[in-house]
Amino acid sequence: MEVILYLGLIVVVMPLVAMLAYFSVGARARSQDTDLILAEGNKVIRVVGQTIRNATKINDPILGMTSDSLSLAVDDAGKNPVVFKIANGRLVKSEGPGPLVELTSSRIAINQIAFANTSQPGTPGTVTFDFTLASVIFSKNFHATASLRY
Amino acid sequence: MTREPLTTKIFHRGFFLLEGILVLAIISLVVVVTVGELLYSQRVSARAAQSTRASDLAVEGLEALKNIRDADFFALADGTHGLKLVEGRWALALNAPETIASFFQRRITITSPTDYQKRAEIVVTWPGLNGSGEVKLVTEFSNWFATVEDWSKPKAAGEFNLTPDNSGSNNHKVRTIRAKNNYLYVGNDNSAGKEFLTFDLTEAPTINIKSALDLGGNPNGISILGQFAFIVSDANDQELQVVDLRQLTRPALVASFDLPGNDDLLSSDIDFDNNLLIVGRKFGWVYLFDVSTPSRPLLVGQLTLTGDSSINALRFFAGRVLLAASDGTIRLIDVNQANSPRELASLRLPGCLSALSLDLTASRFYAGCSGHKSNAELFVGLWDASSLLFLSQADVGGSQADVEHISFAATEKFVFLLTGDQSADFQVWNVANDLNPTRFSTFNLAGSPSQADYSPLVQKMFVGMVSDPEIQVVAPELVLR
Repeated sequence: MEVILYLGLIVVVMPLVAMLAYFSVGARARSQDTDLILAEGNKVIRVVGQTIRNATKINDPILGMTSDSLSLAVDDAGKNPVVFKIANGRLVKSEGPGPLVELTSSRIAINQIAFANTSQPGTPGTVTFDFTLASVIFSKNFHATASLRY
Repeated sequence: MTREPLTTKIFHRGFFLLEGILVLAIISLVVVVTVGELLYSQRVSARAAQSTRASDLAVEGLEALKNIRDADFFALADGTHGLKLVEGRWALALNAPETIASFFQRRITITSPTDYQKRAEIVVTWPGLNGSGEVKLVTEFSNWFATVEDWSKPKAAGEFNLTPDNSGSNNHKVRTIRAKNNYLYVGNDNSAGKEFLTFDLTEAPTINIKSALDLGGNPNGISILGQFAFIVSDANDQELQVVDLRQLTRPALVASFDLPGNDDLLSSDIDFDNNLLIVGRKFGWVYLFDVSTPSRPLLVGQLTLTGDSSINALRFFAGRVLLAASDGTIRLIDVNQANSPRELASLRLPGCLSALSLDLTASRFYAGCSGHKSNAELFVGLWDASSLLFLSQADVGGSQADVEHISFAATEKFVFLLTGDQSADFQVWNVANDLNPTRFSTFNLAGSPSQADYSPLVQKMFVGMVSDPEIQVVAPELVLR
């Protein structure tokens, strides 16, 4: 009798445990992906935003236009211009003749990025940018704006 | 053979059932806790993501406001707004907070702590299961392009010379001058040419003449109401002249008023709230005209001052008129009842033979006197609805130098004087201390000035002269705030 009961319990409990384990592992993977995407997205916003704020001029896109790359003029001649663009599914930054620096990791893909020059005429400039980061199971859109200082 | 006691058997059966229930309970507990934990963790994660997105939206608002401020500080209008992209550029959606992705609401509230500061509060809210979330950023923007006027070294900034080509005669002597918005209106000496001239100040200090109009008599004062100029004159048959300025390149005399007698009108001012024109005349006459229909001025009231003194200057403020009279007094008139104005008070300015010029604030008056037999020509006093009080006087220098014109600059607590002192005809006085006005700076104009008016719009003083060049522009240094 006891054996039958325990068998019954195992039959009921095991699928539950298996489901829980499945969801738990899935949630953990999703959570890791989410954290990674949020962390990298926020890093991109901080790096691009701060570079825009420190720039002296927006080379491209021109006023009122949108582009998939951003070119900024900066004071330091050795780092001029600073360009952000997508290369091989990653966001990269180049400073003058220097090498490309990857801003996103190989674990996620940046599907698209759009830089819009949303400046009022006669001002140092403002750039609004929009991009999507994606892993196998999760994707998220990011959106930010930064203005150049005088 | 031993037999198991009956009670033990029953206990074993019970234990078996109990054990089953216990196991189920523990499993249920573990499942509920684990599922709960998973759901909670997902909610926290979602909320964190929403909070991050809301922060990004708030920062975006801040950055967009920065750009709007850079383009035009005054575009940051007071009120609660949203943002919008107009032709790809950030702009305020006035009084229209925005909803983003049907989830977040962004509200930008702007206030003005001072004239050159804006306080912006950017609030992003979103709905949630356990109450709504909110991210708030507060910052202040400064109009650091704003300039302040430094009158410590007034300088010549421009001039205009009247010639037969632009005025129609050789007789040039500016008698009266008025700056209003982007225009300058000038009354020239009576001649075969034109007496009323208009100028465009949009390119100030360059002054561009717009038109010239022939009027009868000498214009002694100009008041502007809307698109009409009211000119007080010495013309015997039309002491008050009304000029239509709607076509500034072709102004037209559209009305005139012939007052009894031949005495000149000398001064005027306007009560804009009641469309009331107040004019002062020789021998103590004050007239009140209803100019609601500017092309048909209606005489509604009049008053004769005690003492038959000429009214050299007058200023209206809140139902009262202060007059500078030729007997060296300041008079206070109640004009609340336009059809029955009455004199409320009179104040003799010590040592003043004739009061020539006057300006006032809500509580102070500043008067200029004839320098003849006077050791002090600038006077400061207090006034209220029923009384006048002398506070102080000061010597403007020169030999018997008259103070022909006086005007108060509200922002700096300065008064500007035109004096008869040939080496310091333009003077700036600091009147922050009512009891001790002090000379702040001087400027030597080329020739002798008659009247002046200050344009806050272009931050310059336009001085009418009795010799070439007839209009001179005096300007302060403009320094960043």
